[in-house]
Amino acid sequence: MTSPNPPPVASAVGPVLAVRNLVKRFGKVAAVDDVSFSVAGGTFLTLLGPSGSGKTTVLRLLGGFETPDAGSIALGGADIGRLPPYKRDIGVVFQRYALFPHMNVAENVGFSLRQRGVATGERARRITEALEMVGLEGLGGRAPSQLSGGQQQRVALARALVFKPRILVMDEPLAALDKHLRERLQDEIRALQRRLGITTVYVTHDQAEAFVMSDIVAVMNAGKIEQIAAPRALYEAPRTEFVARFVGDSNIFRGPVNESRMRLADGVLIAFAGNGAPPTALMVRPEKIRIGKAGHQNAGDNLLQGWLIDMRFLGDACLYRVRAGAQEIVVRDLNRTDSAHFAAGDEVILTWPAADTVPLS
Amino acid sequence: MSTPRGLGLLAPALLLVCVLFIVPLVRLAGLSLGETTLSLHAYAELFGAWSYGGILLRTLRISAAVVVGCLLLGYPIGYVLAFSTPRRRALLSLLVLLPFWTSVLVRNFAWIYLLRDGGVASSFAGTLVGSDQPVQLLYNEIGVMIGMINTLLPFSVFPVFVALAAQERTLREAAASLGASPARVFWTVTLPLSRAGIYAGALLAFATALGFFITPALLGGGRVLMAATFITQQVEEFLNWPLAAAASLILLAAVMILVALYRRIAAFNLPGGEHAAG
Amino acid sequence: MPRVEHGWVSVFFHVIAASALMFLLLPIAMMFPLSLEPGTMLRFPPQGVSLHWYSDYLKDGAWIASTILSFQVALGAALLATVAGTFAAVGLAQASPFVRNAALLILMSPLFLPTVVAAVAIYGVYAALRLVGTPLGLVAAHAVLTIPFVLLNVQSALAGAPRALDEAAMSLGAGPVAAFWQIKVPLIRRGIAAGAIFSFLISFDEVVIAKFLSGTQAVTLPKRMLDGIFYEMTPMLAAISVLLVLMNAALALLALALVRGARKDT
Ligand SMILES: Nc1ncnc2c1ncn2[C@@H]1O[C@H](COP(=O)(O)OP(=O)(O)O)[C@@H](O)[C@H]1O
Ligand SMILES: [Mg+2]
Repeated sequence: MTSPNPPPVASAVGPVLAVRNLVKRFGKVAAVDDVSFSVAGGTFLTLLGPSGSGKTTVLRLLGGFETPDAGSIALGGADIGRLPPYKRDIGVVFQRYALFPHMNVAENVGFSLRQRGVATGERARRITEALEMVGLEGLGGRAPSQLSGGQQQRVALARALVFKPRILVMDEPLAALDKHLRERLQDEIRALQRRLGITTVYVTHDQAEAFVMSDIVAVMNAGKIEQIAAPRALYEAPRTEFVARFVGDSNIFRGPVNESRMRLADGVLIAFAGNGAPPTALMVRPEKIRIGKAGHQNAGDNLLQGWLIDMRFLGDACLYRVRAGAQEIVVRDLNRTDSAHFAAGDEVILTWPAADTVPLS
Repeated sequence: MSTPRGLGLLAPALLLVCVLFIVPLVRLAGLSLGETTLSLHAYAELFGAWSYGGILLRTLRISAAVVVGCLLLGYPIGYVLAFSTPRRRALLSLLVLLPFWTSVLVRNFAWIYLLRDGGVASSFAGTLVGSDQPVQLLYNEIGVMIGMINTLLPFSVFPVFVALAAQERTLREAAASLGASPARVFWTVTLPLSRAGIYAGALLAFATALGFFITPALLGGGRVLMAATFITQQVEEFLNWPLAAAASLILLAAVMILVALYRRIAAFNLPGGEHAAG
Repeated sequence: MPRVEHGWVSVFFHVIAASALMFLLLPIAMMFPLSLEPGTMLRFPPQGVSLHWYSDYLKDGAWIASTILSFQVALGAALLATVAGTFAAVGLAQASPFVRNAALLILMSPLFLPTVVAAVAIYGVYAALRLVGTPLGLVAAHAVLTIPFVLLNVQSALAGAPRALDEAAMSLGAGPVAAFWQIKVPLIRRGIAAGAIFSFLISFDEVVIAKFLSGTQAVTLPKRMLDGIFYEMTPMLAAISVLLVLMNAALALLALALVRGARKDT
């Protein structure tokens, strides 16, 4: 599963990128609403969120394509919030690549070097190097339209990296590719990013992609960052109901709270491990719940009785929908040799430890 | 950036159009309200003049007849274009566009030759109505209408084509699967769904027809006075600027209303844009 | 073969469409035989085959002067309209919706409003400024008339040069001017060329404005043809018509090919 790579230790001068209280409104819509985050050198940060949550707008503010209504953007300690895009030194990979259709691959990759007055010989050398880096050696003479989607993506990446920008930003670069290619490029981009050690801000609406690639994930909702954490922390300890629902599957419980117990509508008590402010809801992941035959004793702080509404066989696991009192609970049971089998209508009991019940606010 | 974005790039064109088009029009509007003192005299004169009432009615009548003619001929062409293979469609649209891009003078010259007494068309029309006398086709409203339909036909073809080409084939297949005969599919599905194209084509042709000048002058031989002819007469022969201005403004208002209607229902352009000189 | 989807309706429409196309093309086709007439009267079929009306035209000082003037006016108008229209189209793409709608309304108005009203209005101003009968006056008036065509063509070409490409160029270090010349212009050059050709064509054929603004000094070819048709229908007019038809067809085909090519690029 996900083994979060610990983010490299931030350099002594502090984060490479620091965004403070950023606001961008379009008419009445606050596309970005008081967003703050910072990225340590060499870190891969992903903005994850549903469509319309403001991810692209954050990237466009970083790139200098939009001017912020409030807040600041500091790169390497210097405020770049007022600089035009061509003075920012940020490599951008655009959503649909934005390759120049009237230039061949080498000209696309060399464009930034030409703007910087790099001499022809040096330019050719660096173009070749960049193309090798993304596995496109020898394709410099091709037109972008003669390349596959995956190859175009690599050209976009080479073009954004060849001038050695201080950070790299990418907006859903893999969204247009099929699943197989997408997964391969996820690995490649990640490997390349680690090898170059380039600070990266990545945008996706795909939770699996965010988890596979990132050191840190910032979950966005309605222009705000709901939570920013390493993938495992985000999954195991979401702070809000939005994050719990958006990242993975979840069962949510609601009711009055007394000490470390919540009373559900039907009187059942749910135990949770928490000692902060009383939560507004509780959450438990489907795979944390054990399912057993009624009467059969299962260990666990929480125990619910119910009957099976239906079952979906997924291959590696079974997904059960269980009616327990007023609740409908989803349980994910791994397909092990000794797993019990259930059919719709069966009486079952569900158990899980209090430690797996996450309080949400 | 203190000025709104894009305004700097827009400035040269806006300046040109404003100085040479908008300002003259505003000045014309001013003239229609009297050369020295403010009055509606010109408008009163305009509507008081029986002759102008007749001209206005004739302009509307001829334009309406031209629109009907354009649709009767243009709908079938639009239909054939829409249901052709891409290659045949490209060829046929070239054949429709060729006259579109031919000088209106060339076409009028040809029609004068074709329509004149004893010419090919008038003898042919004579045999059609069963008389051995050639039918008078030139220097009357019929001649003007023929010439105008010839010029405005493409205006009705392309909106119809666009409306028909945008229709899903599955709609027709669904109607057929529900038992409609091929002709019935047309009358109950295809034609009603192309209404927007018909309206758009009609409005465009009508708006343009109202301002026609060269064709009525040449094929009407000075006997078919339309709004544009009246305006030029007032300017060139009678030097009655207020009256010409008032008539211009009425024409302008009518066309603007039609164009506004057109913009509501249609969002497309002919290849290369509409060529509206007539 | 096309599928006959509507039974007899389809057959009927094909017949009407074929006749309508004849109706559209016949008058133009007539010009070719009429221009070959050796005599002084228009006759069909011609009494013989002669090209002398063509050579008469080429030898006639007044006609040639008008032709040259029309070329000059059309080139000037096309140049002016193309430069102003191209900048305007790019500006429109950047403008806020309010500015865009207002500017479009103004810039497109010459396309929709009756040319005769425009002609009278401009004539009134030109008369006061003593611009009637000057080539420059014609150039400016025609440029205004054809700006919409440049705008339409460049605007549709701009669809193949989305904002993201400018932004990409800027993120790679290109300033606004470099982005305009290195990215925008190369991508929309076909649309610019098509717009320029259409402006040239329209100006070259334009007769309503020319009738008012030509005066006695600057008589364009269409104005001279208009007078010719009024006063004397000679085969020379047919010969000139043939030349016009050929030139227009060639230019329009070129422009359409450019438009197609531009669409294929994207
Ligand atoms: N140029 C714009 N004009 C108006 N509204 C915009 C513009 N760009 C984005 N928005 C709005 O801002 C919000 C955030 O958009 P965006 O940043 O594109 O979200 P995401 O990339 O997460 O899908 C959306 O509601 C969107 O409609
Ligand atoms: Mg987005």
